Amino acid sequence: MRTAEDKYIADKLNSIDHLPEGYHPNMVAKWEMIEMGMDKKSNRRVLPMWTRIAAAVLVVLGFTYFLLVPNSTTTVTVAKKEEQKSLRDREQPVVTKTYTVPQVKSNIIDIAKTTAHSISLPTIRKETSPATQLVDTNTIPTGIVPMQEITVQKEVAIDSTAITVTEPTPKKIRPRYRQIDFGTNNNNNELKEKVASGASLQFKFSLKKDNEPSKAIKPSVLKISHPL
Amino acid sequence: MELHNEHFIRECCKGNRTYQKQLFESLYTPMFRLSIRYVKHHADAEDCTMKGFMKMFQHIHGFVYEGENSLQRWTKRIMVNECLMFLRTKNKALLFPEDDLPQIPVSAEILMQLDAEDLNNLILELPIGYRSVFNLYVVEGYDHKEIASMLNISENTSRSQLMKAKAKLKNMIEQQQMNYENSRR
Repeated sequence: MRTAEDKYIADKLNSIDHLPEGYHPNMVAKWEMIEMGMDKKSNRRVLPMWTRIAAAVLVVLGFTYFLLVPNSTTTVTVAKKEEQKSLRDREQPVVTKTYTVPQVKSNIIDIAKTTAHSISLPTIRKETSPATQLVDTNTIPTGIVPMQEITVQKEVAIDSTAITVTEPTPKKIRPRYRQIDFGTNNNNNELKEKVASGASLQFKFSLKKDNEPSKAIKPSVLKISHPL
Repeated sequence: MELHNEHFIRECCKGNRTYQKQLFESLYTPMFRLSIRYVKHHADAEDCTMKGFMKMFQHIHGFVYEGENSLQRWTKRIMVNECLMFLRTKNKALLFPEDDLPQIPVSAEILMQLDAEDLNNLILELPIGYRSVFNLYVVEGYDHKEIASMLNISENTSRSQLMKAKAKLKNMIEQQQMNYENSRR
């Protein structure tokens, strides 16, 4: 318990309301220092709590995924990018492609390491583009020329483990030529297309049989090659 | 403008720099005096005072007004903690010499004769451990339980340290008195 003596000493010490002799602080400079410290503290960029929580959740989910999902599989899919060629460029030589099977499973690692498989793709059927046909025969082809889609699926047996090589479906690219189905009628056909600039193009044409050659002039070739 | 009234303190808490500057200027002297009672040297006391004010202004938005002088009491507590932290880091641990001193109560008459500045200088001559407990108990008004938790010592140690501090102070006062009388003769 504090005595009267203690209170007296405390009062006496607290009564000193001046700074020690010879000590004259620069109060302006000191206040500026404190202000600077306060600004520094307030300008410090701290990530909001929700971003920290989100980051932590992502990390946990990532670890869980790697721990729970088994990474061993017996099927290897070798993706091959096959560009869809335009009808004009379809004439291709026979293509031989070589695939190296990567390590797949622990029990076939040794085999897979040293195995290289040669897969010969079937020869692509030669197609003549409609434009070439027109040039060659001076006729307009009837019917739609089918777009060729190549899918190669081969099974390679390695130590009783089947490895399926699957060719993904090639991306469809719009042909540069518009193919028109004239059917069997000889009626006039109209083609309306909008070009990129927003203008509309209109064509009118009709069929002419092969056995009825032109009397006056040689039949001209109709070639539509505007960007559709 | 009356300092330390409710409006003034609320403005400080809101972050009004003009009011905060006035508060700093009004509290600097008492807080410096408080610091120097613990750390003795001017430069150290200045460091502690500035750090204390920095902490105070950084946390002032959370201060709850509880009547007159509540802000001053709060600031004093910050300064005391800052000084004790300084002593702990500088001296590794607060030293409490266990020398046995005769426990003689200081008479009020001798104390009355002493000037406040002289008394302050005598307190500064006490060892760090004695001085800390003496300042905390006698000047700041903390009880032994609070002092024990602040200095990480037992309550009994705090009590014995206070008694020894008082005895040593008494010896010092008497010594000074004797020196003064001898010089007069």
